[in-house]
Amino acid sequence: MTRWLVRRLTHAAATFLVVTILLFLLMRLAPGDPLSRLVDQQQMSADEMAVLRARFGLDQPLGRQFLTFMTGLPSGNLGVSIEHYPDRVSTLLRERLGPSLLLGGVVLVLNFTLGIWLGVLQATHRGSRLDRWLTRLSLTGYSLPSFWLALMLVALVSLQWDLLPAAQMTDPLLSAEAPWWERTADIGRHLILPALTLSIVSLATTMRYQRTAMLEVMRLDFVRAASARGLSATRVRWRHAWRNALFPLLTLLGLWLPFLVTGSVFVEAIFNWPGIGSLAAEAILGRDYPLLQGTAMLAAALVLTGNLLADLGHLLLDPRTRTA
Amino acid sequence: MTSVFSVVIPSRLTQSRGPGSRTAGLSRILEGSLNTVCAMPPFVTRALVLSLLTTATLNGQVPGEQGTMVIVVGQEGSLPIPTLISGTANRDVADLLFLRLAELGPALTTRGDTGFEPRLARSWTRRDSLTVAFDLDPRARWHDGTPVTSRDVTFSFGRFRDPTVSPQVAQALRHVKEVRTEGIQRVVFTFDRAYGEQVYDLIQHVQILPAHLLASIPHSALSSSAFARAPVGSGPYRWVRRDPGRLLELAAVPEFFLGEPKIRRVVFLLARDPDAQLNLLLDGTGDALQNIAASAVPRIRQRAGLEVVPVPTFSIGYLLFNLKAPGDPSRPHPILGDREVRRALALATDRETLVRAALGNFGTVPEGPVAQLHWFRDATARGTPFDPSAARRILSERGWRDTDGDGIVDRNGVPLVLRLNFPGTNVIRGAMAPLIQSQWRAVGVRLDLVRLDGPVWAERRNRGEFEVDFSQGAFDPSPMTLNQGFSCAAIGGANVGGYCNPALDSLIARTAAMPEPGAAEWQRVVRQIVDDAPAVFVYALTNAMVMHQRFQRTRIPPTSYWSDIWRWSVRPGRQLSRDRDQDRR
Repeated sequence: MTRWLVRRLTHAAATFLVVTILLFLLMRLAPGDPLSRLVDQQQMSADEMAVLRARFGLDQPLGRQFLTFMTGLPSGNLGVSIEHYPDRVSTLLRERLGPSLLLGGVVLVLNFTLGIWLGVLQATHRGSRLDRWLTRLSLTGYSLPSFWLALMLVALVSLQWDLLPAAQMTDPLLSAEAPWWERTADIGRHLILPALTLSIVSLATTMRYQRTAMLEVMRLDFVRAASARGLSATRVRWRHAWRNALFPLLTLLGLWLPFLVTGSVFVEAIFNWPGIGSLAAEAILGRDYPLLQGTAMLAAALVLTGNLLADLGHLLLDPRTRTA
Repeated sequence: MTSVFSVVIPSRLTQSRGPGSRTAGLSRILEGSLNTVCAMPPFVTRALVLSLLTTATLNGQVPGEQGTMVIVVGQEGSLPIPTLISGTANRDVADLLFLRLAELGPALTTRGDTGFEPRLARSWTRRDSLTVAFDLDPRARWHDGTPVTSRDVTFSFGRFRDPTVSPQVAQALRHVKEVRTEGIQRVVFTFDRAYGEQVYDLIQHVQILPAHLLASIPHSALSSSAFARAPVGSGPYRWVRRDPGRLLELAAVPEFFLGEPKIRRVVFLLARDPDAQLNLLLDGTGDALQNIAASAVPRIRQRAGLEVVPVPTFSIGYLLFNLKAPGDPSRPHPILGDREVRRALALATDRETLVRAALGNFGTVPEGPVAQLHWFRDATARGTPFDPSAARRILSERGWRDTDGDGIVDRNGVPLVLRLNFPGTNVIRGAMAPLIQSQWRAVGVRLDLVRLDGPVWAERRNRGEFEVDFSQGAFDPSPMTLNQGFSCAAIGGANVGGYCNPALDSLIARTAAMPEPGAAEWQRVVRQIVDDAPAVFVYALTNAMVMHQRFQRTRIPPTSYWSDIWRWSVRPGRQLSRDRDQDRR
């Protein structure tokens, strides 16, 4: 087990290093001027541009830029953002992590509670009207483009019916000294629409995974044996069948972990949610190399961690994988 | 039924200094009176409140005009320090924090010594053609309470004249020979040559910085200093907080020496996505938005409480020709190096149709590189007319004829094909490009459209890797802006098209050296540029600003939209809860 863990960690670290180097090189080799937004706003002389390039180290040869980047990496120094100068990339990532975790976490919890429950419900009522309707509804949600759904929800719920705020994570005029319940309620109101959008379009995946896994398991002899022993249907369903149908969901959870942080770029942009997804979108649009590099590295680290945790979960929960 | 709630007077209203003080007594009396009122039947209470409100309105009480303003912005003002500014978002915030010696007046004239509005300087006097003395307003204070002195002015000019700090400003101030103090409140500027825009150069480019706070901070360390995180200025608003990636908040300085701002709280709310920006206005979170697409105007107009305010700008959209051969800047472009061909292309462009189609009422056809607000603009001049037959004739005279009948003119077997680069994300240019393509096709010119990602477009433009580039630029209010974009000296800098006419350079230099050149003199420069056709000047932009109707505005300065909001107020009786609820912080 320990050897396995050490081997996997080493592999993950090596992969992360390769990804980091590739990200650095590919971004710089891609066409586009990182100072383009500034140039589009005002006429700038060559000298002015030179000062700006020097400010961000863009006047240095690629090798020097790479060396500076790599030497700063161990201390967590990812450089200074061009768009958000003088904010450091690490600071920006840290500040945006909270909102992303909140939104992603709520969506993930919704998916893996409601989605699992509905999936199990479908499997136990296979072929029924309920199963058919839930399949239709979930697939409809799955097939909706998230940005379209977001715009529709805003148009109806916020602008037409005036029930919830159209964007933002908090009321910009709410005091930082407001009582905690007022601030929590405020965030909650702002959270509903983005969380709902992301949940509607992603719930189907969990439901379908769970339904299929449950159907596979419920055919097996040990489930029939449990029923034959006179156990209640609920006990058979959740204690015996569901626990064995959990493994595909564990893999899915591993794949979803990066989503916790990166969220959905479009949905975050439409709801002006200050998360990592919208930060990445800004960085892409502005060719903000350091920021783009930081967000991409964070996403890569999360993918690797998610996979590692999923494998570890399998190892801990399923004795067969340990012997294999 | 009687009202049962009781009223407690907040201590801040009575400024109580202790239980036995006179104000504490007043507080008790007020509390007692109000609690008596609250114990009365509701109709009596309502009548009393109504009469009190009526009296307040009739007396023109100030509180009815105070307010809060949430401005939705697309870019973040992360560093609004004048010497470090890049981008309009920072500039907008800096203009509320830091004052200049004076501002451009309503006529936006840049010549001479008059027509400017005093700010930190109460007045200025000319001693001779090379010397101007500014007297500071003795009431001016930094936000920490320290008086603004002549030392601050000399310090600020010292910073701005350093080419390593801001090469562009240092270049603009290159004729300033000496800045010296005469006492605490007078600063004397000496120039090395006489010219008509001396005062403009002094007031426009430099915002005054607090020497007592910044002198000990090297400029290289300024961006990471405590001052950068909470700047201290002398403007009508002081720094409150910045929530990175979300908002920036300023609060009015009640003792601002030019008058207490009525808009007490200004929040710059960041929303990058245009849909999110619009939704924030429509759901009532935001009060103002600097610019919306013309297509969104009907949605705004349908919403009660919001209005669209057209604001003319200094921005011009133009088709910039590259006069240098592709890959070899030492040779002229085989097609665009010919002035007559460029003129033919200008004649083939129906700018009126383009402006009406893409901008509606939010744009006009410029004469040349002159925006709607330039004081030297000739409003009656139309520039190059739309004349496709003249364009065809000129092309034919230059040897470009359709010899193979494919509808494209050619010369020596080479068809007249050009490529137009434009940023795909820009709605206006994206809408106009296909129309230009069809207009030029009508005179036998094939225009291939190259829609590029914004940063790629900018990179190619700056490197001169284009044939025709659809640019848009915010020009300076001064006619010297013509020098920046079209002089031989600017090649390698802002003049990316490589246009160079020594006769024009000489004309600009002669005009600039006049003591007070008028519009007619600068018009000669404009006409020369239009005749040489280094570009086709397609549109002069009017911004569609969105604003909540409750604000009573004075004016919107086109060089800095929000810099006058300290003079704005909320219309009596139109206050929202956010306007009344400013003490929540």
